Amino acid sequence: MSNVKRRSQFSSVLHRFAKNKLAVVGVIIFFVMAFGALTADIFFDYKLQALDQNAKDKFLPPSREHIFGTDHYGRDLFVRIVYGGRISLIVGFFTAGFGLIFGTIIGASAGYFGGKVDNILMRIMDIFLAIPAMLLAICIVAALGGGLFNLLLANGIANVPRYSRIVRGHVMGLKNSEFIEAARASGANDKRIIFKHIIPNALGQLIVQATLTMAMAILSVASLSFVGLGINPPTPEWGSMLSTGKEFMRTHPNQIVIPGLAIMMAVLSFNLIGDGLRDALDPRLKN
Amino acid sequence: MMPMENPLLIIKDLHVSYKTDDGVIYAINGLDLVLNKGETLGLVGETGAGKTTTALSILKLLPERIGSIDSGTIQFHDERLDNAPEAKMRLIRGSQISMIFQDPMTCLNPVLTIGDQIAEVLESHCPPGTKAAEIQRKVDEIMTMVGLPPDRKEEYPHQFSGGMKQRVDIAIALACEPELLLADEPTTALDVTIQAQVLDLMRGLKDKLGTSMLLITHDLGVVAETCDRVAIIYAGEIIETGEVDDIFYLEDHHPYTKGLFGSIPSMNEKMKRLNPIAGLMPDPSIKYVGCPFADRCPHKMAICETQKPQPVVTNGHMIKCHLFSSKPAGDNK
Repeated sequence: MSNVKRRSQFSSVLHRFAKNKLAVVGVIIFFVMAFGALTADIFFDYKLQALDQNAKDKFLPPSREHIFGTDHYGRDLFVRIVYGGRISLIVGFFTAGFGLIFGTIIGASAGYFGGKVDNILMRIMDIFLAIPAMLLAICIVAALGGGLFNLLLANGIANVPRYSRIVRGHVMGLKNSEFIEAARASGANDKRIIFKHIIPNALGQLIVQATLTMAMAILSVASLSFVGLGINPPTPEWGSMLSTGKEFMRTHPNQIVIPGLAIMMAVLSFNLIGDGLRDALDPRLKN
Repeated sequence: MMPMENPLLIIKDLHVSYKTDDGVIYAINGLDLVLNKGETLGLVGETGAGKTTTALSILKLLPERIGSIDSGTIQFHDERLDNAPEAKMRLIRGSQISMIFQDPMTCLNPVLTIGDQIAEVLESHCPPGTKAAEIQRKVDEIMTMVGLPPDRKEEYPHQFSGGMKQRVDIAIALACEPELLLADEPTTALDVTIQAQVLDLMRGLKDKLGTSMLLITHDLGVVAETCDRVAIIYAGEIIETGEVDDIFYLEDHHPYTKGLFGSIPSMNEKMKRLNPIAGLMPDPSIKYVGCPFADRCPHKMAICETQKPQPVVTNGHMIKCHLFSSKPAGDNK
């Protein structure tokens, strides 16, 4: 019974999503990226093609063998972009998930219980917000050292306050609405009210925020790597590729155009998906 | 005085206030109310008289940190509700006492299906381990009972009309077959045709399930049609109660009740203009000494300003007015 229902609801969301052509483009870009990141090991040899230097092949122009050409060490740019996507996607998903989970818990408790709980939690969040997200990430990375895990943590923590603010705002607005009162009058407890009534109402916005966060996280990792604080070479990462590529941009523009485009497309796809999801998830817009 | 058979809900000397940033609002000031089993009691009064506050006090749903019961008792069966802990109230809400809200447009969650929202109250009160299929079966049953096609339970509130949403509210309120139903102006937001349908439905279900009902309204027509007894509330006090016939056909009334009836057009007599009650309700932030209606009363006496009138009861018909204090109300013909 309940399975049938869920599928029909899911399919109606899907249907509305599919009507938004731009969102579909976003999904296609995302799937291409995800497919590459997931299956890279089947098609390529990570060590041989993405890491090992091969000076005689350096700066080869795009050809059938090297679609995007090769870099200054003679490594295939396409392979490195595909492996770089893996890092970007991991960072994006982890950051959004981390922010979503902790931000929702903190924001919902603050907004729902109000008073002292609200004050304590939100002042802590304010402290975090007082430091620019990028700077906070730099501090965490500087303190804990680079590497993927610390990058994830830095980006994740930097995003929690934003989510908790969104959720808190929603909870405060909805807390006094009549349907919450009605739910309480029919004997629902706090947990049920928060998770069944308030979060689903805020879900649309949270998902949009999550996709935007993924986009931002990708940018942030790229920027950190660009300035040398993120993923260290020779690991293929879009930001560090951009950073090394900039030295050769006058003679070999493909060294920066390719990773730059990759970053841009990834960010764009998440933003498009976010917009599409927001419209598709709101049952009030259903026809 | 009529023997009180089977009182289900007894409210005694209830005082409720709202502590706002701008000062204290005294919303309920010594309210007494008795509701018998199986009875429909109409609670009638103008906006701001404390009707909704009364209902929220019974369920202990007054706004947190702002509204509070200052004194008085609320007794439901043999249990005191006024000092019951939250955990216990939660068990009572929805299963023994439930509430229908004024505006069906805003009291359903826009992002949950109708079926989910009806199932919710069942889930909250069913013994743990009740199967999902069993709950779904009950949802279907309840929807049929209130005249909604069960195959629409997958739909969202915005796909329903106002009257149908009110049916959903009624379904939610009656899902656990409560003993007491608090209906807070259930028909105010609906047009007249739908009003009649909804009232019919509520009356029918009430008789079928043996529910008692506190019907809050400012519509005397609704009262005449639906209620067994009527309580007139003014400035947080019950100033007159009695059987419907007492209120509608007896001669003796509180001047405020007379004013209320003067404010509705009559079908039988030729009237040029309605006679609304002049003035406004007393400022609820001030505790008054005398009769709360004194300032607007056409029969005001010196005593009204200084002393609170005591209830005068004749054959179950109670009036709280100095006009009747000196002599039994029945003699005033």
